[in-house]
Amino acid sequence: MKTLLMIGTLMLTLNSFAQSSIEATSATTLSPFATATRLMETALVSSLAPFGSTIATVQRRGVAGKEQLKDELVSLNDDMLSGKVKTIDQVRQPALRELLLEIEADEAQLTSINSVITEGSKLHRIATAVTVSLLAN
Amino acid sequence: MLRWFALPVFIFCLRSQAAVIEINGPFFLKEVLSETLQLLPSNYLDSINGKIRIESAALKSDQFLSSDDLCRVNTDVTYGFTKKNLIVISSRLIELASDQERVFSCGHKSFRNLLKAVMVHELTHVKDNQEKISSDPDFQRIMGIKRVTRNTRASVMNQNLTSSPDPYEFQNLQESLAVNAEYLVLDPEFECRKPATANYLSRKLGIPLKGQCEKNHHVIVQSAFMEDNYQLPVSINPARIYQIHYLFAGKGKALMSRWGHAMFRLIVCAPFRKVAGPECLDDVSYHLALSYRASITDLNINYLKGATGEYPSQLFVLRYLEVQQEYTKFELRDLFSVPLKMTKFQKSEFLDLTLERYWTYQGKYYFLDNNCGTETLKHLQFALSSSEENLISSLTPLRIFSDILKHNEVLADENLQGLSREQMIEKRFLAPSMFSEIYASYHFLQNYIPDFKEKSLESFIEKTNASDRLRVYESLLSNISSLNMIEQKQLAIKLSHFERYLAGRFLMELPKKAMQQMDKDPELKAEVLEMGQGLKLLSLQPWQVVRSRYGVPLKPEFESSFDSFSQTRESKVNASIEAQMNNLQKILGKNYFKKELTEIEGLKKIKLLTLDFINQTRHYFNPKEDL
Repeated sequence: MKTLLMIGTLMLTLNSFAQSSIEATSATTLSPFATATRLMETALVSSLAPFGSTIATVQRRGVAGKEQLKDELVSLNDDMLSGKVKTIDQVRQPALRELLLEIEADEAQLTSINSVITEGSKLHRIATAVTVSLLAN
Repeated sequence: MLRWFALPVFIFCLRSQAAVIEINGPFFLKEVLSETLQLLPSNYLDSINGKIRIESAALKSDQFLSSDDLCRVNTDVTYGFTKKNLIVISSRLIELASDQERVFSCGHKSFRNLLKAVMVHELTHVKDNQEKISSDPDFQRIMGIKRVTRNTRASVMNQNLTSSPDPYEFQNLQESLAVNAEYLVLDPEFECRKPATANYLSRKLGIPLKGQCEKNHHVIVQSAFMEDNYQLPVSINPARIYQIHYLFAGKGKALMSRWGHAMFRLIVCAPFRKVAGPECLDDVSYHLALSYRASITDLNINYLKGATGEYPSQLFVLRYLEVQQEYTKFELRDLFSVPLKMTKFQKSEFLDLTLERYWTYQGKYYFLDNNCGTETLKHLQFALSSSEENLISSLTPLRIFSDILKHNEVLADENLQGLSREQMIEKRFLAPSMFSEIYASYHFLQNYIPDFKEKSLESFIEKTNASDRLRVYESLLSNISSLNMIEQKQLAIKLSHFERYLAGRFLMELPKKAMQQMDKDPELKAEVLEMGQGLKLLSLQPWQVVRSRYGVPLKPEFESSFDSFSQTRESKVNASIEAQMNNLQKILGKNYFKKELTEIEGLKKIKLLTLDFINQTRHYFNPKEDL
């Protein structure tokens, strides 16, 4: 366990560069990535405010939970590109599906997201917000 | 010293129970015995043949009973003993109980209560001699023994003195029974502090629970990541848990992973769910993994220590998703999750034992015969009926898994028989190793990068380095305009996915390399050991985070203790991370790690290149077209 703990800590401490790499690179794997990066680049501070609760929702998952979300974004992207997945109900990645459903059920959170991301389906808009949140932390 | 001889001594008999009790001692002894017998069920001594004799006598260790402070009494003091049907009680204790009315904060809180406890303790021994309760397999499983045995003198493995009401309970199974019976009878908080033991003994001894305390169902989630360790309190109240799964990680490469790893998964429902139902299966970020592991504080695993029980065996409570990452990604192992068929009562028993284990248990881990498999099995068998427990006879994680599948209709809550791998994934009984996803990214890249010749991903990883990959990526991206937009975007996705995995894997290997080198260089060893010191926060035990009188902390104890822990936690975590960064920089500055530093530089450049690539491809994004 200790070795595992050490590895975990090393990953936390040493990979300050890798973390940012992870965040940025995994986010590109999502179709909504471009929307997310555009938002981040054009109006960084003001555009993050509406994602406050989404960031908190993502943050609650802990380090490993966020890593799992990033991993699942890769296959979700494949599913979206192939046209297999068009709605949240169809998402087959468990951690992402849970998160997307949780955000979908939260009206206030959804309204905040819709105020910033105006294009694309509900899946696209929420997935973009998740991407922004993963980029932000 | 003379005073207790002045107490009037009587010989008389009590017949409040089926058994006849003959007392040879002061009248006060009879008085306290009468009170004690009233606390026991009327049939408590029904099984005893013949008379029980109780005598007072000066015992050798009475000399250590000079203090009249209950909390300062030497723990080696003998208050009484039993020989067949004869119970002998320390006359010094009787004197103290008779004279002292003070209430203390420790143990049984007063000498009078202690005297009652000694009576319960010794009467329970007499009962146990007849009924062999301490050899009952379920009792042994609660107490934590290496293997279920008929030998009631077998030692108990739990050595966590901090969380015990009286460490004498660890002497052997007989003493465990007697000590816990004392507290069940006399301490109204016992049923909340040791719920599994209390429920079991209440049924076995016929002593009703008092219902005077409020059980605290909280555990604090542990983590290999410092920032998440002991950050999140979670209730494992049975009402909030839909199912309990047997969680099995397929075999790994390490010596101790060849039989797989056995765990449990608690399907904890998200707080917004009104009832615990099948929807809770979707709440994966709330699910917990229960994992018996060796608690290793050495920097390197010492196999000899592992073989001789020198590492503590403990129940860790982790987020399920962290365990999934650990096995499916970092170790590329399959993770099976089999819902267990349990009644409401069995689920409650299982969770009570979980609470008790988490807050009080620190056994001994033996790689061969008291490991994750045997500990998990004992935990599970405690909750199963005897006919069910007999269906699982194997001790290795893989065989336990096979036995559960084999007796699917009795032990599992879903039908898993005959399911293909794909069906198991689809029905979420299997979180597959991420190998195929990583390999898919590698394979995709092979179509564009002729230098990626290795068929096997493993051999590619062994041979590759960041500088070489950087060179081929630069060459690839300089000719990217020949690809269409979709292809370019896919390439960016797969490239970043693959590089993210390689960077993570490289970082995981670093500590191993540092440890391999440290014996050759005392200075390096000092740096590595210092870094180990900085990790102390990760080695905290639950009972160090939340202090309780003993056992599972009660709600007020939990709230005040965890609040004060949380207040200082963040600053300690930050300080620890900063200290480790400094240590790490010193370690990587050594000559041995030139290659590793070059690799890090290469990885940084790949990161910049990947980001640049991403920025190029994002211009081609069109959500309407994509969706």
